[in-house]
Order: sequence, then structure tokens, then C-alpha cells
Amino acid sequence: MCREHVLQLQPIDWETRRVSIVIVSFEEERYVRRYRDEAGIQWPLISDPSRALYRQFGMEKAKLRQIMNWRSLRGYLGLVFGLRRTVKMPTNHDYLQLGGDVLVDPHGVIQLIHQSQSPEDRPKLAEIFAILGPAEKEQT
Amino acid sequence: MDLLHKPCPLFQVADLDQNTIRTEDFRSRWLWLLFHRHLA
Repeated sequence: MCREHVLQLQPIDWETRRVSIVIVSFEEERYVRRYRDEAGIQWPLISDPSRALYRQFGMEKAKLRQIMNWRSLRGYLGLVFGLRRTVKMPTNHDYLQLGGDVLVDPHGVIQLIHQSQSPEDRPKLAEIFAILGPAEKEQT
Repeated sequence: MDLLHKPCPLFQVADLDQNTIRTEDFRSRWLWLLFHRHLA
């Protein structure tokens, strides 16, 4: 379900907002490379199999009850029955590792740490835009 | 460790293309770190 998050963000003009997006994955580099090629991602991707960055920002492993809920099951059923396009990809199969989002301002200060509580838990775009403020072309 | 509203811990990593990513290089821009779960 991370893929939906990326697909949602890709069409947005982040340059006018002076935002650089970097994707971090705990998967091995070969899988991350395949994922990038298949999904057509233009942003930098980091393979962090030691999960040093995950630990640094408190992205923890889920408890079973966090991933066994209706919204998560619905997402996985969509995967299984092809309700959305995806490519099967062998990975480390660590379904308990949770993701998240960290937003660092231009002064190097962290303005948002969103530690996902379930697979589909991501910050709303409105929340991100509220933190970023108006885009450059809107500031005149 | 609550890092919210605190300086981002410095780190230096290489992306898939072996470009170095340093937190300091993003001063003057917003940096959005998007931590994935698995790649499905």
C-alpha cells in the first residue's frame, strides 16, 4: 500500500514547493531497484536493509493486531484479486515492519514525524500542505 | 526519542545510483523522507 502513497504524490509539482522527496526501503537493493523501474519512480531511493534510518526515526514493527484489521485486509484482497495493478515481487517478506513519513524544514528542523500505526496509515496531503505553506507561485 | 521540532539527526547515505544524500544538502529545501513498508 506504500505504492498508492507514492502514486498519489507523483503527479504533484513538488518543485514549486521546494520539496525533495527521498524514499527509504528496508528491502535489499536489487528489489528496490526493480520496484523503482517498475513503478517509474524518479525520486532518489535508499535501500536500508540494516534499518538504521528506520530506527533513527522510530519506525517500528507492528503487532499483529495492527495489520490484521478490515482496512488492511481490504487492501491485501485488492492485491490478491488484482483490483489494482501490481507486479509480484519477492522481498524479505517482513510484513510487520511499519513505514512512516518525516518532514524536515529548510532549516533542518523536523516538522512532522508520522509513524504509521497500520499499513494504510499515512499523513493526509492536507496536513502536509498545511505544514509546507503556500507554493512559491502562490506567494506573490 | 521524540525528535519532533528538533534538528534532524545528521545522516549520510547513498541512493541506488550511488549519489550521496546528506541531510545538510537539503538546507534551504524541505526534505520528505518516505519510509516504505514492503514493496507490494
